[in-house]
Amino acid sequence: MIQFKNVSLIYPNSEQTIIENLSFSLWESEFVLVVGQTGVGKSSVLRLMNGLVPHHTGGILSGEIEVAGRSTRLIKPGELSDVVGIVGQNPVNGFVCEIVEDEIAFTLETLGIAPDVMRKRIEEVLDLLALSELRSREIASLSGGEQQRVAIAAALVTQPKVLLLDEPTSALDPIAAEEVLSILHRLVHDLGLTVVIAEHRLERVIQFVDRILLIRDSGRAEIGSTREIMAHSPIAPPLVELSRVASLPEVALTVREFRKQAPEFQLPKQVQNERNGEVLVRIQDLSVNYRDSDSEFALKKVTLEIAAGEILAIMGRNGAGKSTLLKSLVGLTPLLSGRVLVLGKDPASFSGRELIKAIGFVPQEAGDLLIETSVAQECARADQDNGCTSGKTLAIYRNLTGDARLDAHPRDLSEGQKLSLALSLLLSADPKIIVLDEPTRGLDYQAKRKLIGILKSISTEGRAVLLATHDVELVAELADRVIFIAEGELISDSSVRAALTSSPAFAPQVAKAFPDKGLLTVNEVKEALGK
Amino acid sequence: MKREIHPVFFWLWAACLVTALVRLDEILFSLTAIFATILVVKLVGVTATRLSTLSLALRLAGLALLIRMLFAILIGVPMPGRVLFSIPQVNLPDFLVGIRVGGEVTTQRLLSAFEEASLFAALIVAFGGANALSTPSKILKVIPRRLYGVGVATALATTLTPQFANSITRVKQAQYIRGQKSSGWRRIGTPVFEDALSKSLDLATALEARGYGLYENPTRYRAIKWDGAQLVALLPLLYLAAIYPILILPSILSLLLFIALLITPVVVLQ
Repeated sequence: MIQFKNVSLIYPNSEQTIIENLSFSLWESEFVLVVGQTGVGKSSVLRLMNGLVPHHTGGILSGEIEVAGRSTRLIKPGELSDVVGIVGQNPVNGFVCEIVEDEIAFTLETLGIAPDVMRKRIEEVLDLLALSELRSREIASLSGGEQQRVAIAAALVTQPKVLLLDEPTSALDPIAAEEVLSILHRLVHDLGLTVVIAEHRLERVIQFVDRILLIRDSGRAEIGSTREIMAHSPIAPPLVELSRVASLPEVALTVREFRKQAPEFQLPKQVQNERNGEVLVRIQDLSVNYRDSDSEFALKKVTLEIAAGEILAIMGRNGAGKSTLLKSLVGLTPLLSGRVLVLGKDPASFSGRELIKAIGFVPQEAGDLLIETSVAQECARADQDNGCTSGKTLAIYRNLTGDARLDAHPRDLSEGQKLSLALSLLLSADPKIIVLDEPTRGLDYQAKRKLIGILKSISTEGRAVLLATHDVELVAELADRVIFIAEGELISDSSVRAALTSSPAFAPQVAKAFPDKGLLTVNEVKEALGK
Repeated sequence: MKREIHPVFFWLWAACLVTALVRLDEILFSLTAIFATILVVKLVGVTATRLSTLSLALRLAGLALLIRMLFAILIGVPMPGRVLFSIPQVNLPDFLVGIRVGGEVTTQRLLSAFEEASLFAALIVAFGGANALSTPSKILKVIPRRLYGVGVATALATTLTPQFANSITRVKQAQYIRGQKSSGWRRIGTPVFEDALSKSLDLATALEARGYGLYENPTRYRAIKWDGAQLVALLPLLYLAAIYPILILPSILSLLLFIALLITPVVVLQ
């Protein structure tokens, strides 16, 4: 279906080749996963497959790429739109119309398909992705998972042979992600579609895919069956790491496989670490309305206390009210009733300086905080704004990232570096509380591990850390306490262990692999096994 | 009341309404037109995002009214009438005869300014209402095929406007989080434009991948047609609106037109 012959790619004004001498073939009805660290060119590989690279982005391509017998060298990406469908990293940005049905019709309209045929195809695709109910809804009013499904429907409506998806689950909660992936799985098996997907969160996708294309830093790549690649891949989900720790003869790809050969061991005594720091945040009976509605609540009677030295994770489905809760801490949410007290005061009454000394807030798009044209300027600006000694922010940034290219433009940094920079800007004001909204979007395992280290050390300095996230594995590694929010209500507030072992949808792989043992992370298993 | 109304209908309706208002030029009619527009939007029942375009128009109209009144108090030609209050007058050079800054504020002056301003406000609200009732992108669906490319480009631009507003809010919040009380143009502008640029790039990529502009004859999914009732309701009004700026008739005709316009949406929606 897709054939790469000695493909190399280099972007203009760049010294490093993105892809070097890549050759492989993908067959019909294959589910292929592209893995690699952030910035190694996973997206480039996907875009090479429908000609967006180099036709749309520029770049020098050598070698030959054939898709369904057509060379991408000779034709424009649009001319492949009947064979290849692509769903980008942020499908919202690629939507053209306001209404679901119109959006799905758009490609067919540009292709000039007759209205009666169009009608039939749209009906089929709506059924296939279970979108019939939503057909006349506004796209903006849909949840993340639903929008993702609309984007897939819009790509599938031309009846392509290949579907390309760039990080389709990174913005989704575990349940919505599962939904999208099982639909993809069905498409591969029922329709014989070839699906190629790039994804960081391997634990979510690995059980579905047939083969993996692993791209390494050098631009070299290898392709093989999931098991072959996972046997030695430096990027691996917790379950694979677990197999390695337990020295299983064969790497386990699913929880079921692992349980069959799981090692027996004695559980060590678990130390309950009691946190009794000073209470920094007090939320009492907080209710918040949606902006456009008098009757619907974004938050309903939430009561919560957060103490110094604590790492609290807020979980829940997309649109449950996590961000609203976080924003209420910095006074950005108009309250309907109840109270929010940060360090004993109403956060809305804080002046600029007071606010940054109390709370450091990293918004969903960490890049929003960055305005200067280089890292050095950004740090200098923060020193000035925060009223601290010159060079303090930069020292923190160096400490967080190790290397620091000072002349780099903040927009050119990787997601992980951007996050570190945003954190440094806030940390130099020495806030008592650090708040992060979805920090792991677009972070690979390595960047995530780094973030975990940083946040843990921040919390030991007597600060409270709060984060809203969908990333179960991150919560397992990092948090002390977890609260769940559903439709604006706080439905559970417990230790991380109790929270993550009680609900299957929000359980990390390790907990699933060792049910009833109360283990959450690979490191805990290592200790238990005495390694 | 769920009846498919041709997207152009309400735009024509607003145009007729405005024509009648300009001829009538009375505060009462202008205010009635504003209320009628709000009522029609409520009657049709639009989504929250659409409704926000109307409330934006209302706010804009209010602002226009306010500014006009402010200027009426500060600057203007002397007018007779009962003096309400007076503010200090600035002495202007002799060649600016007839214009004054400050001075006596009369009821006459305020009334005539309010009449002008209310007409202007009604104009804004009428078209704001039309915009809320049928999105520009819907209208573009019914424009002639030759203009398809222009149409889609405009539709895209109008879809991007709310996103732009959204990213301004986001960046403002980010500035606030960094402890900046007031944010200058550069602090807001730079991230917003970078955001807009990256979004446009995403959109351009999506369009390219979907074969936009590549094929000669794009087709339309679900073409929207005029139905009889709408045409019958609107045609005579259009005719009247078209001829009557030329006619120097007593305003009885304009009044008729105005009343007919108030009834039309109710008839069409039933």
